[in-house]
Amino acid sequence: MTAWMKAWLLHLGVLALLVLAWFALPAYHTGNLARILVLAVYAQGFNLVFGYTGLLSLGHALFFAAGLYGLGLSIQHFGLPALPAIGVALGFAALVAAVTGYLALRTKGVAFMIVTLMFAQTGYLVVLYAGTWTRGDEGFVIARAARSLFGLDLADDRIRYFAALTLFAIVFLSLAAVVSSGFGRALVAIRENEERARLLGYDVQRIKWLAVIVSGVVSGAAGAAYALLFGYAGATFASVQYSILPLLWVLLGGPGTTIGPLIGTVFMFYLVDFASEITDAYLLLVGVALILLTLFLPRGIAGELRRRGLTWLP
Amino acid sequence: MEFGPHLVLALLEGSITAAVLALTAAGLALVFGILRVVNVAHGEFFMLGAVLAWFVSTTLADAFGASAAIGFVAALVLAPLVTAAVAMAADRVVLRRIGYDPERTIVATIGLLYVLQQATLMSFGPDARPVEPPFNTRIALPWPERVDGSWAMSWPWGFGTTSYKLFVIGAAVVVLVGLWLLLRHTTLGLIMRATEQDRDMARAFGIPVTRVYALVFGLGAALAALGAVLVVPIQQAHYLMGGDPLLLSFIVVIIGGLGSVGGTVVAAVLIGLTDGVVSVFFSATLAKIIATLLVAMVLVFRPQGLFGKNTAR
Amino acid sequence: MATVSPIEPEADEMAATPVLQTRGLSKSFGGVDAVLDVDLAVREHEVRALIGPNGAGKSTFTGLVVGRFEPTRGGVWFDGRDISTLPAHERIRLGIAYTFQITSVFAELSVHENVALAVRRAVASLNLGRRGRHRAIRQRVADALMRVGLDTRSDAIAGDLAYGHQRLLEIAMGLAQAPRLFIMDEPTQGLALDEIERFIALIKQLSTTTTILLIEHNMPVVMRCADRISVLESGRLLAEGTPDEIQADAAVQAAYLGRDLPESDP
Repeated sequence: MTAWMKAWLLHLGVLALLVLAWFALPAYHTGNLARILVLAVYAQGFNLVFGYTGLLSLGHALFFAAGLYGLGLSIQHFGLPALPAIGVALGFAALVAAVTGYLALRTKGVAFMIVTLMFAQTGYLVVLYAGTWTRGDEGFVIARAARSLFGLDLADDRIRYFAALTLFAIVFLSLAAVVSSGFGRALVAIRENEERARLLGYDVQRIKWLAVIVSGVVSGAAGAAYALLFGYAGATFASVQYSILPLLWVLLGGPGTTIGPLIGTVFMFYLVDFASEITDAYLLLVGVALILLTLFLPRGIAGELRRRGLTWLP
Repeated sequence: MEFGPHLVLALLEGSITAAVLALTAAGLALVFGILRVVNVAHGEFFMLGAVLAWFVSTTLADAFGASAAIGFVAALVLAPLVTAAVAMAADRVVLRRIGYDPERTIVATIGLLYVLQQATLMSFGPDARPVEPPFNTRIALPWPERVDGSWAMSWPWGFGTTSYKLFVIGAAVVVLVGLWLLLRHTTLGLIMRATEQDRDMARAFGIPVTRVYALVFGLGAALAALGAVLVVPIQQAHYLMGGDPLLLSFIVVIIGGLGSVGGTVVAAVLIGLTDGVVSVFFSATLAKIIATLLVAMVLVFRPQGLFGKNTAR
Repeated sequence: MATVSPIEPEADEMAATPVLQTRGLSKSFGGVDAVLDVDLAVREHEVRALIGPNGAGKSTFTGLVVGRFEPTRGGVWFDGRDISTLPAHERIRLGIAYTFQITSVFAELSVHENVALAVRRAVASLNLGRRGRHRAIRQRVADALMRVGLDTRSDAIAGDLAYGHQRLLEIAMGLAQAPRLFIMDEPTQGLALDEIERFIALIKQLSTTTTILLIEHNMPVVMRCADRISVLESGRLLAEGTPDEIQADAAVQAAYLGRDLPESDP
């Protein structure tokens, strides 16, 4: 079996498992999974920029929030139905990514991390400042009536689960195609040796910028989906915490792999779920996890698997 | 109160912010200058200083009936020392192992941030707790006014400060001067500056670089903790109080020029005063938005900050 | 900012437009003149060697040509076209290949992928369709690796190769681009004697289709490969001529500390 065939089987297998999960797992877990799948889309968006291009953005919450509030505010304050609201959310996320990405990419390394962090902080503060519309930290609920797409009630457990799974599947397979394309390989080249890539004729600045825009749109799609499927938008989703979480998920699962983000999100979600039953300070686990990962498992789970033999893992 | 006195009051409050900020940011600048790493948990060292100050002064008061003054002095000594110890432990266990790699350090210190913050939440609790200042006499301030065609001094009601607030500013100045003397006029300072200039060269000269790093990391944390101990009688200790100082320190260090302690102090004064004035007359959130965007733009268009050297590292 | 001469490069002793031409090319780093007023012209299919003592400015010069640095003064023309203000990646796309003085490959990627990256970008501009493109990539990668003798190591990780083989890999990456001008910075450094022999044969074969500019310290290689030699010293062009002319040139000998032109390091 060629590497290509194994990769295809893996991806389809994962999706098949997720379909089966709906029938096999109790309601509590499928409810969780719906949430995990949407967050995994966010993680995949982040992975494109961090795992494949090697850019450590500390401000991806800006894109997630752009999608979340782009959709939420469109429905809540402009009365748009779901489909055009999704369009607004994606367009807004793309715009934000294009502008902030263009500016941030003028810097490198540590400066890049700080600039992205600052842009995201600005976004968070703007959400607070515009409290009359966004209701700040408290957030607002999106009415069930508004959360319907193609006549389907997205608040219904089964519809919600399969809507989340559909979005996940689309992003999962599309990104797998992107990373094995010329563009995807150029991202890896830039991560591995930017100067060499440049002196092979690659327009490094433009390629990075495109990666940030695609990443921003995917992250924004996750944000919009979250608002639409779970009916709530709040400032926490624009805070630093939501920029750190995808980093954690991707690091754990394996940066630069296609299944890494899903693995990391599932794992951390249940770890935090488990910890928050014991203590209010469940974020402590996030902290410890980050430290342990940086020390001992910098390639993440899928990354280590790939290194130790599963070389065909995309 | 009229505009004049109001402005002066805002400037005074801003000076206190500037004083504490200068100490905290100096710690961050020192670590970045010498270790070349960004410590995202720096705000948590600040918080730790405040929490420890509460702990020390409360324990001394409850167990030994010590006065607020003695409690405060003890806190002033113990809190920075303990915080420095925590920092040096983190350096040994984590930072040294990852070789001070810039990217991995940022991730690791984010982890450290959560660990310190949440551990404090578990032990100290979610409430804000006050600490008694060692002394706190009100000082009314005079303001010149025109009375019947000639100038006279009046004491507008509400226009004043406290002796403790003035002490904070004075103490910060003393410590910063001490830091400057340490860096410029002692052997230790020379060793630190040499390590900052060229790590490999310093090693070749027999300087124990790993030990210098540990010491500097501890010193940076101690400075932040010290700033917190000074401000906690005014502000109260709370497990989330590290966030704002972190952001402001970042702004100061970047605008002042990453790695330049002198530039940091100047920037701290600028930003502290501005923050004080803007917060009084405008919304605090708007002030933060402007400040945050300013940092980003400075980094994008003038990466060496306002005072730093343009070293592409 | 480079001041660009509005006059077309002269075609005095050249039969056709030189592939590479520089006029008054200069670069100072904060008061130090690394390269000063270098006029150079390389004809099509010529093998030009650029030699000189350490610190003469050879790497800075090629860096200026390929666009890694901006010149303080002067300009660069490629096939008669002024490329002085073009960014590096655009110059490469016009048909220049470049190898670094200190080997720069994608260490964590396979040998095959290293060359494929070079090919992929080069064939992207040709309208080949998907299948045609994949075929072209496979063919060119195999061909390039064979020419440098690395075809058996296609699946190896680049960073695991011996240093000399990594240099050969970098050359393969340049070959795969089918460049009009191939700039190599000390390509034989770190190569074993038999590899150097194969390299010389490669250069001779390559010069029938490509123009080559080599920085070299290995004098036997220079003498055997080069059609013409340019000598740099302290940033200035000291002398230029055929290998025999250069060997006999007193100023060049003086530049190399009054000895015969140095032997290569084994």
